Amino acid sequence: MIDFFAVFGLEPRPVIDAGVLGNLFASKSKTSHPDRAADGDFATLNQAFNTLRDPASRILHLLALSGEEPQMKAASAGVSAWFGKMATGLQRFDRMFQPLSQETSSLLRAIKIREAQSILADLENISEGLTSEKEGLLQTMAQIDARWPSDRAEDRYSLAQIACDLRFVEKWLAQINERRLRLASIAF
Amino acid sequence: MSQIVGIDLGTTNSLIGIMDSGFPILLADSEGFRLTPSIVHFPASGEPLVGRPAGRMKAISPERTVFSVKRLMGIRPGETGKDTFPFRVVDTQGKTTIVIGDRTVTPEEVSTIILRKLKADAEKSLGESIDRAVITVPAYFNDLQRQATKRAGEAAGFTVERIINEPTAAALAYGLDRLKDRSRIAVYDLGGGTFDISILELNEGVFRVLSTNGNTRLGGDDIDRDLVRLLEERITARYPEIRHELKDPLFSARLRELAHDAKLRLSEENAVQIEIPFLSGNRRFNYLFSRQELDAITRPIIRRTRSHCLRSMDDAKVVPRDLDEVILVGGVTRMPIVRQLVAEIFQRLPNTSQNPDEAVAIGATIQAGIISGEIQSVVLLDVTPLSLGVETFGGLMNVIIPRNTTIPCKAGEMFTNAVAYQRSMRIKVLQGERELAKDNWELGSFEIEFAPVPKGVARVGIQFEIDANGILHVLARDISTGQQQLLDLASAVDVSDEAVEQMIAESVDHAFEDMSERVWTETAIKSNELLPAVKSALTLVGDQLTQEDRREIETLVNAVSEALDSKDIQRLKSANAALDQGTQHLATLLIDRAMSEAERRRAG
Repeated sequence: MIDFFAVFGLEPRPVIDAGVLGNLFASKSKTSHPDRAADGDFATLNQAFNTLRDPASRILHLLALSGEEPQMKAASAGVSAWFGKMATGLQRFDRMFQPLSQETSSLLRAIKIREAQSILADLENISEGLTSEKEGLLQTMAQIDARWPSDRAEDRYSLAQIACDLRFVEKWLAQINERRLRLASIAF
Repeated sequence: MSQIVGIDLGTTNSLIGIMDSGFPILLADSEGFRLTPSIVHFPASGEPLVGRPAGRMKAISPERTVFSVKRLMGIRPGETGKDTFPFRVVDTQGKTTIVIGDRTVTPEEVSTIILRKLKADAEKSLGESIDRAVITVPAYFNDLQRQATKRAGEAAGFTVERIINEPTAAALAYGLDRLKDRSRIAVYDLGGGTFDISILELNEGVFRVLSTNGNTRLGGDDIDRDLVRLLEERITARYPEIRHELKDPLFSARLRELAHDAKLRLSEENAVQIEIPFLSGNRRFNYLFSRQELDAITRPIIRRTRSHCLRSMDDAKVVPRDLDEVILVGGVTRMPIVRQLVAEIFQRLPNTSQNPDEAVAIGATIQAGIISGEIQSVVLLDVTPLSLGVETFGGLMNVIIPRNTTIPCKAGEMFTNAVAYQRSMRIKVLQGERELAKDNWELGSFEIEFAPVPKGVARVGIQFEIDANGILHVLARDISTGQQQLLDLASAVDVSDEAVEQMIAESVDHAFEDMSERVWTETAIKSNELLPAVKSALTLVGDQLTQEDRREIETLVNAVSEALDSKDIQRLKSANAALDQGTQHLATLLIDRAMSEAERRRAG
């Protein structure tokens, strides 16, 4: 298994500054891109960058490096609580959006856009809630990072749970965002 | 080794350039122009004409003169959409081909002929042979379209050193003398046939594309098409008796030229006179065509670029104020209305420092310089525009490499036998963003072989690699021996079946259109939806209308109500249409209100 932290000469830990990582990627690209070096392994550098810049996959890689394969599938109670609200909101929006996207009369369109707009407002509230949920997770991650390297089993367990929660939160945020984009694309 | 040229193989024009003592320069063709029209004329006998000489044949011999062939590159039958050409485009054995008299050419072959001319003319002006090239493609081209372009280059006698995305090339042209900069830019590239938007980060000579989006079937050609339709309407309004003559290929070609020229001139002038002195017999057609009219036609087409821009910014995780510049490329961006709409989307004045026709070719030439080693301080990191995946159980798309992943990249996927002693499994490779496999492009399929073992025991690792050209390679790795083998993707012509079925389904739909009962019900449903909508709109924003507007709408409402009682389909249809038309302004007011409400919600 390749240590993606080592690819950038970084110490393996939960938090990495995005700016530092971006600059390292840029400078290492200069020597390993196929346009610069025929034998440079750019694909691996690329994979390392993509793994490390995403907090969830970075944590999972960090844990995997020390031989752990977290099997967590369920979100924590705090995060799961959002699912019901989110799914209902999405369904309401999609039911509204389907006829809206095919409407040819501008007045009927305008009326339907207003309705979709108000459903979206509910979704945006959920989105805000999810965003602060995400910030909370990142904060906990930073706290664990502060006492890294840590061999405490509970730290490793929390990290695995954070990775799992982040995946759910990000997926839901993306789903809401997709609706926002769909409406923004047709309504202006 | 010979030098590497940079080629912009455009929908409307093509260009070729070369590095000259550290600077990219463009070469003139044998007619003396840097822009070579991407037009090929096939005479009844003899060699094809290419470029300007072919362009002159467009109006004389439209059915033998092929243009905008880029819109057909890598396109499967049924995907040509609304495009109509004066030459014959047909489907043969699941492939899109062009029929000229008794010969058949593929879009790829036409591109090869254009590339051959660029090559020959460049060789003549440089006095040496050239056999290596960097060729540009729209960023949103899929794997099939990229491969078709690469094959066209190879058939023209080039080693294709790189397929590079057009907006990325334009960014290189913009950024070459700003290598110390750290900035984020957007490149808005609207050409004759395609639209791309790319967002890049420039970091001390590293050009990293953060996201790209677009539409490979949206461009200036669409404006021309709608313009021709408008002129046809105006002519028939004046001379209804010559309606049938408008479809004459020679006349259509002439109209298309007139429309295109008028469009170009209206970027500088406020109105142009369109004159057709010998329309038919003694009839003459004069029409003062204003920029407002052109804008009205252009606006809906440009608005379609908006959603791509929003998605691109979203994928790059930037908002308009994070961008340092918005660079305009592509001939259509000369139009004032386009600049205005781009300014609205990005909330800033766009940067027009680049020559919209030449920036892409300059960029391709710079990339050629990077590959040859002539330019040392620049690295370009591009992305794959579309997600790559495989079809999974239940007809879903399982994404393996998400869109906007930096290339070259690789990703592995493990496949296992679903039933005991299964010997093989066929895997469909897909590209696109839709959840259902069938809604995405099928790039092809490959077969993996299993050893005869119990369920779930056989394991074959498949490696998907996207190279620096954005082209996919699939490798199978035998877990026990560790040996890799390059797999050939069987092409997926069967996709066309679905398109055909779709067309059949639609034609059946149309067959019932005359059934008056059904039409009446549908029209009445529309009316019953419209009437309360007007009422509620008037309650919400009616106070912003003039007395006159209000009365006008009330008259139209009454007309619909009366038509509903009359049971006259045509009357109801036109009453609905009139009410639709008459409430446009009301709809705009309603949307404005909804937008400001949403704005307030976000702010508050």
